[in-house]
Amino acid sequence: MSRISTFKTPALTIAPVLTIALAAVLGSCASAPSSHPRLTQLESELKAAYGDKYVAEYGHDDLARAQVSLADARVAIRKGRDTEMQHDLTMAENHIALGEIHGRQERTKAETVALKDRQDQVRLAARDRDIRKANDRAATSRADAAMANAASQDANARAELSRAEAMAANAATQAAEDKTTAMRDQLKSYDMKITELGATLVLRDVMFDVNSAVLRAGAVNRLDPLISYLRSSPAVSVRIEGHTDSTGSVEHNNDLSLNRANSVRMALLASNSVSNPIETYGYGQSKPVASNATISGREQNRRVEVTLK
Amino acid sequence: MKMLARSTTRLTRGTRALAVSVLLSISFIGSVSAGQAELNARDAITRAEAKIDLVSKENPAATQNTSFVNAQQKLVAAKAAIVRNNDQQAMWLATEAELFAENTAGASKLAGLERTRSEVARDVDILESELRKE
Repeated sequence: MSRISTFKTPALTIAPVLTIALAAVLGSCASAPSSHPRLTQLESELKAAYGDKYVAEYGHDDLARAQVSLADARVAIRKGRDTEMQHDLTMAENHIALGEIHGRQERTKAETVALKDRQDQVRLAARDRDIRKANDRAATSRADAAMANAASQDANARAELSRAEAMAANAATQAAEDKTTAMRDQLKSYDMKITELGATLVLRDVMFDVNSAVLRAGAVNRLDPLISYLRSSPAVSVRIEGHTDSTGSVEHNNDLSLNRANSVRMALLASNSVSNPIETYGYGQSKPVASNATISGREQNRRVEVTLK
Repeated sequence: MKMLARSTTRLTRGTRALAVSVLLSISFIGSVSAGQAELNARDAITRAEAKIDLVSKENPAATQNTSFVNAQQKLVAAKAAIVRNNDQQAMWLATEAELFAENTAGASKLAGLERTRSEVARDVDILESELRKE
């Protein structure tokens, strides 16, 4: 009982003391600083950090540590432990910073991946464009090649044609030369000159008597080589021109020259083997080949020219 | 009264012995605890030192950063605190140094990632510009 009374008495005695002490403690708690500007600032930063998707996800552990540090800081502030509070706030600040760094790292990685995807797409588009260009160039080249091939074939054809024409021309030339050579051989007994009209044979007046258009008896034989040639060349046309010297009137000489030409024509046709077309002309004294002032010149002017075409 | 006095003396002696015993225990536990705190602080300093060395080797350019300078200053202060036998202070400063070093390394890595992103973005811009020209 005495022990009880011993305990009771002090309890009753100290009750007011405890009440005062409690009031003092509560009073001291009420007056103790519950916040700090830096703490408030960091709490705000932590809240903002949680608002960032990447920081909240990839800096989660850091932010959780920051929360613990801030809680420690609050306790330290309440207990008035300034050094400890500074440490806790420094830790909280660095944990928030590290969380933000981790979040930004992941965001940067994600953005880089997206950019690389875009890069691949653009490169693909560029490659497609290059392929299209190459195809276009190839098509153009093929078209150019086809055109060049066609042009080449055309040129070859033209060249072939030219060769054929040249060969034909050569052959024609050769044939003409052969013909001329053959004609020369056959008509070598005549005085022959080659003119624009063809080969012209000159028959002097020894074939006619003076002022006569009748061929002398032996003169017909003189025409034998010509007759022989015309027989072998029925396509050759014949032009016979009669010429005189200046002796006598022009009119008479014209008639005489034409008659002499006709006499030669008749002699040719009389052979019955000449069917070539024959034209006759009488030029009289109009086309002298030498001077009529001399005997020799007049002899040269008195002539019949047979042109073979 | 005498008996009461004797018993009180006995109680006082017992209490003294108990008190001495408790005090000795507390002293022992305290000394052990103090030794452990110093060891912990030294471990924290070693870790911070290793991280700072790693950052300076891997990212020499990062040694100009404020956070790296802070890490170095905190490490120096932690070592000074150990010398003063202020283990708790040393522990705090060493952990702060370690965290500053981690921030430096993280920021350095972030800068590298951002450089890569910028290069890719620039390349994409060039490619798109070339594509638009056609």
